[in-house]
Amino acid sequence: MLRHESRSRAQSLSENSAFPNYILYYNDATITNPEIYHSQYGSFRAWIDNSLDTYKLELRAILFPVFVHVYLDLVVKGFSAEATHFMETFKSDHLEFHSLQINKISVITHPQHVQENEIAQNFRNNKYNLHLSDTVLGLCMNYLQENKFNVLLRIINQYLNVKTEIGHQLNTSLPELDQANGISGHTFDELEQLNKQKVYLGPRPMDSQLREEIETILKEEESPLQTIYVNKFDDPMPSPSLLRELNERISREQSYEGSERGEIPFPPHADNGAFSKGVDVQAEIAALNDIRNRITLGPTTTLPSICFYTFHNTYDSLNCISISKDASLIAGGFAESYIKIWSLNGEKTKALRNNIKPNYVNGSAFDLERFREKEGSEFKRLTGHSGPVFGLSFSPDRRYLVSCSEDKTVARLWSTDTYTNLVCYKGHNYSIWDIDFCPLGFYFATASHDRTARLWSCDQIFQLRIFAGHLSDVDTVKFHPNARYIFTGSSDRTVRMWDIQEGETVRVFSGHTGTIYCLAVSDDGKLLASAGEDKTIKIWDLGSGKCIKTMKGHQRIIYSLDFSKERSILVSGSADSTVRVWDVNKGITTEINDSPETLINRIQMEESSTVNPVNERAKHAEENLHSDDLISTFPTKRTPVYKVLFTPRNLCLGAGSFVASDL
Amino acid sequence: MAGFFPKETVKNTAEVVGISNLKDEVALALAHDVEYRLYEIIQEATKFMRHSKRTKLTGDDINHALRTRNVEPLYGFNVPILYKFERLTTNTMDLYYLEDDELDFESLIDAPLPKVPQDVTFTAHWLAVEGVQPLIPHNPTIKGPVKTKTTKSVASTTHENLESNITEINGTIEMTNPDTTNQSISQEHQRYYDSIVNAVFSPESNDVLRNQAFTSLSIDTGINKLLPHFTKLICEKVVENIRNLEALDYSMNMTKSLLNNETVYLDPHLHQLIPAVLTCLVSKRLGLRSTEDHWSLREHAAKIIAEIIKRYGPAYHTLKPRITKTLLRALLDPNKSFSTHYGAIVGLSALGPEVIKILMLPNIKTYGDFIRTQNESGDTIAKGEADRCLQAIMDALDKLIEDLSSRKMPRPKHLLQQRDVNLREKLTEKLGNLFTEKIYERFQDEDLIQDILNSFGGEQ
Repeated sequence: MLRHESRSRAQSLSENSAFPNYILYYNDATITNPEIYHSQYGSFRAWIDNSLDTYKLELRAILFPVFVHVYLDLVVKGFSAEATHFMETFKSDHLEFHSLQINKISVITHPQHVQENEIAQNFRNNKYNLHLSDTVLGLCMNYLQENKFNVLLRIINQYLNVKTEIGHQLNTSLPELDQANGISGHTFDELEQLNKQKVYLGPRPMDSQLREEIETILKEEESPLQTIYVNKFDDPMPSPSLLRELNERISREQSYEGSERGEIPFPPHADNGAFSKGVDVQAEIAALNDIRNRITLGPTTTLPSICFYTFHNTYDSLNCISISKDASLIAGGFAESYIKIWSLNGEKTKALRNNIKPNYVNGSAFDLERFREKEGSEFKRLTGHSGPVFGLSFSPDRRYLVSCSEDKTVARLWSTDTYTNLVCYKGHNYSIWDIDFCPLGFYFATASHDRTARLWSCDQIFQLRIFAGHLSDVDTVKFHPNARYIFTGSSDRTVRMWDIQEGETVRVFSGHTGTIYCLAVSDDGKLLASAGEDKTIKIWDLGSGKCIKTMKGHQRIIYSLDFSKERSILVSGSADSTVRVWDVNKGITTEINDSPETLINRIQMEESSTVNPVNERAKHAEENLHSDDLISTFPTKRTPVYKVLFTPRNLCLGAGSFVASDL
Repeated sequence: MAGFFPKETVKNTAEVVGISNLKDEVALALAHDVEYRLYEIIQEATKFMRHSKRTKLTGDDINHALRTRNVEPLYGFNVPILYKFERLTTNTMDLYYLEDDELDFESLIDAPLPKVPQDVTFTAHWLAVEGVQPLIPHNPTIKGPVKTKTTKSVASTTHENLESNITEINGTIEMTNPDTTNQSISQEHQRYYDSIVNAVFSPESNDVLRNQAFTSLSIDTGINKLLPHFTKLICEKVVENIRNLEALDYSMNMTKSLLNNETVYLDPHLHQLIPAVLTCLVSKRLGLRSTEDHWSLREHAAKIIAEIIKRYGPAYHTLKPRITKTLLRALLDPNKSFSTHYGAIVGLSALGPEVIKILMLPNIKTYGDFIRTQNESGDTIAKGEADRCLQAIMDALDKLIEDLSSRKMPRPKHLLQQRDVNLREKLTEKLGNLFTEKIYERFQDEDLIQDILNSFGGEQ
């Protein structure tokens, strides 16, 4: 396998050397008859249709980019009527996989539009990557050459970037969904180089001083307890101690190949301050406690319990929901520019009274407590934004909330202690779609319509990094658990992984056929799940940058994803008003590695027999289409699911807004 | 020429702004461009729609898209009404326009204000419990067989057999009994389960075996997986044996043992257990004859309810209010039997002095009156039952007084002097004759009586 792979890489063609001779004597300007495009494309298509079944799928993959460029060519040359006719005649071939793009392209009818249209420019300025076997490419070239289909040859030469694979044919069953096909803004070689970069996926090592303190405290607490326990119940297997959990965690940390380079600086642990003495230590102990008391989930052991929060009377104005990690607060962002926070544990939300006289507060922060509201209220409303709120994220200690909005320039930091706006961060030029708080606190990242993602720290009002590279809107952003990387999902249908320290792309994941609306990273930092407009969920191996599998079943856009803490289960929430539970490990045969050097075999997608787009295109079967790894589906009552997440103890929480009636 | 936007529209628009003879080519070019721009705006607006998690494009989305493109937004279209265009045919040409209703100022001003829309709220429910969707009103009913694949599907849960499990008890408590046994259990577990069930319910069993079973349930660490089965069993047994006091007692003992077990995770099953316990507490008839001692079973159930609330009340803050409400409603319903009343009283009083003080005390007078009228008309059996209820209330008052005296501060002197002369009348006013008498019979200490009066809250 290894030998085969390296050989194929060595023989892969560089982009421009493939077809020099075919086009030497061809002059584009001489084409004045638009019919030529039509007839050549038509014959080419007919030839593909009549070709052997084994080659057909691969050949079809060539057809789509050629189709788009023929159409654009016609428009640019001013034959808009012929272009429309061409579109109408042939677009049905591609609707299945590319309907979203075709809809956007078909509105272009004027040369001027080609200059302005985002997708047209993407196609014109970037090469379309295509994976083909050498046999198929040879066949195709021979055919085009023999028939002197110069127009098509020119398109293939100019806009396609074909990588050949030696061998009979590619072992993928659906070349049109092959992850490497499509436009990513990089050539194959660049992509390969990008995805070869070393990534450090291990957890951030614990501060040694902090660790010592925790150990001392745990030893003090546990030594008497444990003896009692053993005496009382005479249990040979006492429940694992927190201390052991700590040691396991540390040994896990050490098992990863770490590197100091690229470590993100965090403010020092607050262990000496008078106010927050031991806060970090307490938080760490609580986290260990959570790990110990966690229910182990798995497809064959226990399936998750899902607590679902349904919002009523929202009149379609609720845009996003966020739940704090400890399930004590829930926040909703509304189209009417405000945010509402409810408490989930029955305590009332209490802000400070607004008649504080600074003179009466003597120095310490505790003194402020005297000024807290006596009664409190069911919820608090946070106002400050001047446009719909699109994203919310709680800090890991749930003392802060960050929000982002359409009002273009502003992300805001709110305190959940006083329920007031603390900081307002300006920098984006257009609407901000998503925001994510760093899992270790202190930093947060935003994703915007301006095609960039940005990194901010809570204490500075200017961004620290601008991550530019996506070809279209960045729709979602997510931190890696060790806070060294962020992931961005975009309307250009790719997911990128960025090194925060360097500000560079370290991985590009392409393969989705629609905008990506949600991402999730597993707690061990090795897997990424992405989903969105195309209703499929893809699981990526971060080490190798390869797609491990595709999971199908949802019937509408997917809004939210989360891994269970031990990575065995993935839950997804979608606009089709269901929460679905997926088996992550089913169908993954090879071990997941965090080193890119290890070759990961392309894993056969385990599609259920119903998913076979070539043979069964019957639309009525659509309802039953789902891949094998779907464990269960939990429908709600007309409540699109906006958010799903697992608490540290593996309880699944979901939230959505009830839709009164189908209009 | 294709395109939805005909050049005539452009010409018409041009006429409106005062350009009378627009050239055909210009109009055509403009029409194409307008169409393209429209698509562009729609595409942008769709992004806003998607991020607002809606499936319907609104005027606001369009306006946001226009703002993004630095174009003046359209005013007056941000109300979510369905706009309807009317067609008008003039000179063989179709014109479309928006119907604008004429509004009368007078009627507009005089019209009553529209109702304030309800505020956004949320409710929580279990969408799934260990991978199975409970059949509660919050979850949709599933038509036909469930398509989900359980891992080693032991039982494919269908709606039909779930529905048959819904049992109405006593007209007040609805018990759902969803099949949570989707997961296969190991042989060891199965054997354990069987032996427990045999020890508890089998007629051949004896008290020693039974006690061993209960002890095992309360300390064994590995029975988490059997919980769905045990809860199901308890529910079933309660429903089946509503006339068999012994079996009910065993079921309650089982519940108690499970509650006592600190290693089990009972939370997801509480919603099934509580109805069963409540049934044993406030059911109209338990046992074959009314002369049987169902009272102690009720007391036992009351203790279990109190234990549940103590354990899980802090985590599920609606639990306590819901149960107290159910009990109070049972108590205050004169149509319910005395046995139900008795159950409600012991249930409430088991929840502690706070509940007695806040919920029971204010209703004692009405209840006393009710008992008196019943006693006047009733037969001897009813009288005996009423006495039981009276006794239960007195016990509750005892509890309250005990709590009050344990917390009593040394009374300031001036309060002693200010003691009400009309203490007895005041108490009668609050509690009614019946209970005042009883209280005076029992407590001679006027300090305590003053305390009871004080418990009525801020009026004193």
